[in-house]
Amino acid sequence: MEIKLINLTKVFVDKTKKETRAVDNFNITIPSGKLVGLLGPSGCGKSTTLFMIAGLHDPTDGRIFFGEDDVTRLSPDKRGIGLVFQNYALYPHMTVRQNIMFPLENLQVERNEALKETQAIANLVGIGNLLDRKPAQLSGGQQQRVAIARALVKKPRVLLLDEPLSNLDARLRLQMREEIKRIQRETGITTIFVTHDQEEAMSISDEIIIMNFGVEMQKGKPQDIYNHPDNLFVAKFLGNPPINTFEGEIKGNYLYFEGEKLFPKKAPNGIYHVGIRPEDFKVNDVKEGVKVNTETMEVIGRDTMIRFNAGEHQVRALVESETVVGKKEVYLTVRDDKIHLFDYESEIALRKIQDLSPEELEKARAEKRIEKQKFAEAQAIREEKTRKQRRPKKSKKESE
Amino acid sequence: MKTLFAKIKVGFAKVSWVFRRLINRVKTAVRNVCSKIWVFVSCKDKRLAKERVRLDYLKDYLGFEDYNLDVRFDINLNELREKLGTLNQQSKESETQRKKYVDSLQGTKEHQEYLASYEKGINRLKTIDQKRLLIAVQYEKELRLLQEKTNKEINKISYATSSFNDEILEVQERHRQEKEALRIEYNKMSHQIFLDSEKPSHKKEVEEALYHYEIRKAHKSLPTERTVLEKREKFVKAVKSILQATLYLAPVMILLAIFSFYPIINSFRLSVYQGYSEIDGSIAGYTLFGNFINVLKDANFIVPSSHTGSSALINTVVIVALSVPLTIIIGLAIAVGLNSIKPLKGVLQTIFFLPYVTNSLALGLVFAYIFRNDGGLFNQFLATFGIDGGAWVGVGASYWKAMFVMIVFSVWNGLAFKIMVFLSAIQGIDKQYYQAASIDATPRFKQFRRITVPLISPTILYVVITSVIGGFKTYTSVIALFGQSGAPRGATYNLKTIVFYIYDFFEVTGKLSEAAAASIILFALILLMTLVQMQVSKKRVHY
Repeated sequence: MEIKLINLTKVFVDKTKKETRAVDNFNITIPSGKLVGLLGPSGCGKSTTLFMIAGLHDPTDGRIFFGEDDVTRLSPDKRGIGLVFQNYALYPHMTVRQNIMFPLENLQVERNEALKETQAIANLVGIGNLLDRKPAQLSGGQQQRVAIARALVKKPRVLLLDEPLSNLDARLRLQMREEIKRIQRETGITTIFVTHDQEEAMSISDEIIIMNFGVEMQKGKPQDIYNHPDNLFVAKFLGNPPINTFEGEIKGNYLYFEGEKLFPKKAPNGIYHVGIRPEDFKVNDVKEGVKVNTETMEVIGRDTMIRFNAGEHQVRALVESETVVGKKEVYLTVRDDKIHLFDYESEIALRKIQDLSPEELEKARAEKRIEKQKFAEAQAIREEKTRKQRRPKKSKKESE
Repeated sequence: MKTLFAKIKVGFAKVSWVFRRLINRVKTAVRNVCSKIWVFVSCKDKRLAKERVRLDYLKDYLGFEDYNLDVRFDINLNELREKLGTLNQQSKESETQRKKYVDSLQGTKEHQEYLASYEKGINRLKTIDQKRLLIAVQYEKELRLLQEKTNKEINKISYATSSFNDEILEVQERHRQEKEALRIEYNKMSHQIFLDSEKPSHKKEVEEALYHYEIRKAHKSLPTERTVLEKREKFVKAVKSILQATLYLAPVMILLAIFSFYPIINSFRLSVYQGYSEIDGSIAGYTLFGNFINVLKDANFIVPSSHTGSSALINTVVIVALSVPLTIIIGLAIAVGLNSIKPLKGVLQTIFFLPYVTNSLALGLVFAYIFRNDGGLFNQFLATFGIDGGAWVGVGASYWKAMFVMIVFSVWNGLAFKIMVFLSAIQGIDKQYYQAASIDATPRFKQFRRITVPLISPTILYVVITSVIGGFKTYTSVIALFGQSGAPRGATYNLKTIVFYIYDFFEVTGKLSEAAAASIILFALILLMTLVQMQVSKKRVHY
């Protein structure tokens, strides 16, 4: 089933009447039967969005559609959703079987049938032999499977997962990632899951929605987003090791950095934010491109990390180890389409800007300016606070 | 002002410094005492002496030519162990060989001879052992005497000059030399015993086997210096922690002993006296169950006497059985209600908590006023429905009417605390459980029954146990409502509870022994009830 969010907004008001816009005019369509990841840094409103879809938070404004139905004002139990909480929220006093059967009891399913369904769903998630244990007797991964089973047992139209893997250790996380993907594929339920871990999102989602400050930044297939980020934030957020960004200039189809001629790039002249992913650097045998000393490099198995300075800026390049072994100097080049350019003021990707009308561009730039100003103000306030906190200590020292 | 603060600060620092030094001194003193006790308890002399004897064997066998080596201090234990490693192997082999040899001799004349020789050999080793042990003990004693002597000398010097100087070094040097001389002397003596003793006359094999056997035994029981030290440390630590714990617990223990343990023991003591007189403390004799039987047979304790129609036990049980479930159910309901109300939450909580801070005697007066015959609020309230309430607590009130007031009063009296406890327990439940439940379309009451109650079940158990105990101990409510007589005026029954009854024995009739017996019966009753509750709760309470 398709999920549509139209102009979804959530404003939290705290005791001092200060407003926080957790989600701001959010418009997305989540295709039917897909596994969609909501990705963003913490505090970006992704969990709030999820809870609004679940019906646990009432949206301040906007509508939510499940297929054709408007569910904005529907209570959670009437929406037909299954929700897996970050810390699972398994009832500690019930056995696994009772936990999984609990939703069925409320739907007044006949007991024998409910038992059968419980067993079936438990087998699906791979905990068929643990039904008589209490949650406290299970490991983290098993608890999570129980939580998923409980969400799935009533055959929801939508499955929502709130940071499902954040409480697991690294090895289990990898395993459960595969499991979630398998379960989703077997049941074919539209699934939304929230995470702050980009690797997790990239590996299991059919589609990713990247959010920041309650606003959608980019939506698309993981690899598309990775290869063609729409703006500087997305480019910086995705990728490990992170993308190299600096302010560069395009002159005569060449990229310049602090007056240094770097790589050829076909683009209109001007100053841009430039992003180059470390792994897009290639070692060139023809001695073209940037000359780099290989003294400061780390060999990490198959790949080698080279750090070099462009001006005062440190740049990281990840190249295959074979190509640099035994060389004192190497020449690095980057393919034209692997250099990402972003508009200097609005931080929007160049290819996007070409589609925008001048007014829209101006608007985006103005918005960005305001945002930056706000950010600077917040920063100033924070600094002021820390200074205030430090002051009494200093005075004490002085008196002594 | 600043300088004043600074001065105060410095003053505190000085005091704390002095205090810390004092504490450190006490600590070291405790430590020293502990180690001395340890030495005394563990018979260090004998232990060390035994060790010496064992090591002497090893030394002799392994051929340390220089018998002046002090085994205890100078021997290289690692080297010794290395040698013993091979020796152990050898000794095992020789032991098996010996057994084979003995088996082969079975039935012959030589067999007897061999056995006799073997025994002789063992005896010889034992005598050597004993003699050496005696010498070693002597040595340890003298060594300690010497040590003490030197310590005294050094102390004298250090007290006189209050500093470390050459004199002390001299004394130490002298002490060292004396020790050396003593050691050499005793080692010689010890070795001499070994040399002097008669060697077994039989074959070489016997001799060898004996040595291997004894040495292996000695080696096995060889303690290392480290384990000895560790043992001592452990002992000192244990003593210290016990001392600390006693120090911290002392105030509470003393108070408890005076105001709880002593009275409890005393009441047991009183309950076996016969004809105890409070004035001069004289008694007529002892009886084991007499007082208990008296209490149980007494009119109005268990069996209602014909002219009153009420007994203390029945009154108490009725109060407990009705008021406890009522308070818990009402308290839980109000707590859940309060938890789900957002506006005026603080005000409502305060209102419900007010009875808790009010004196229960004052509350009783208010209740007596509310339930007055004429003009009482309750009767006025009933009158609006056209019902004539009649007497509740006044003249002519029936037993159940008075009991009704009593129960309403105890419910109201205990409600505030229970609401508070339940509310805090409910607020401690993770909200996610309710979110999960609401997604699963759980009705409100089912949420309460299946989630809230099980999750706060430990609290419920706590409240049930405490309120049952409290109910059995009801006393002030009766006094507050009905005064000293424990009944409405002119009534043929009374509402006296067990505690009231005990108090009557104590105060009115002055039968202390019976009062003690009755209170022990009450204690047993409460204990029994609590045990039953704990047993029942095992299945129902989820921790």
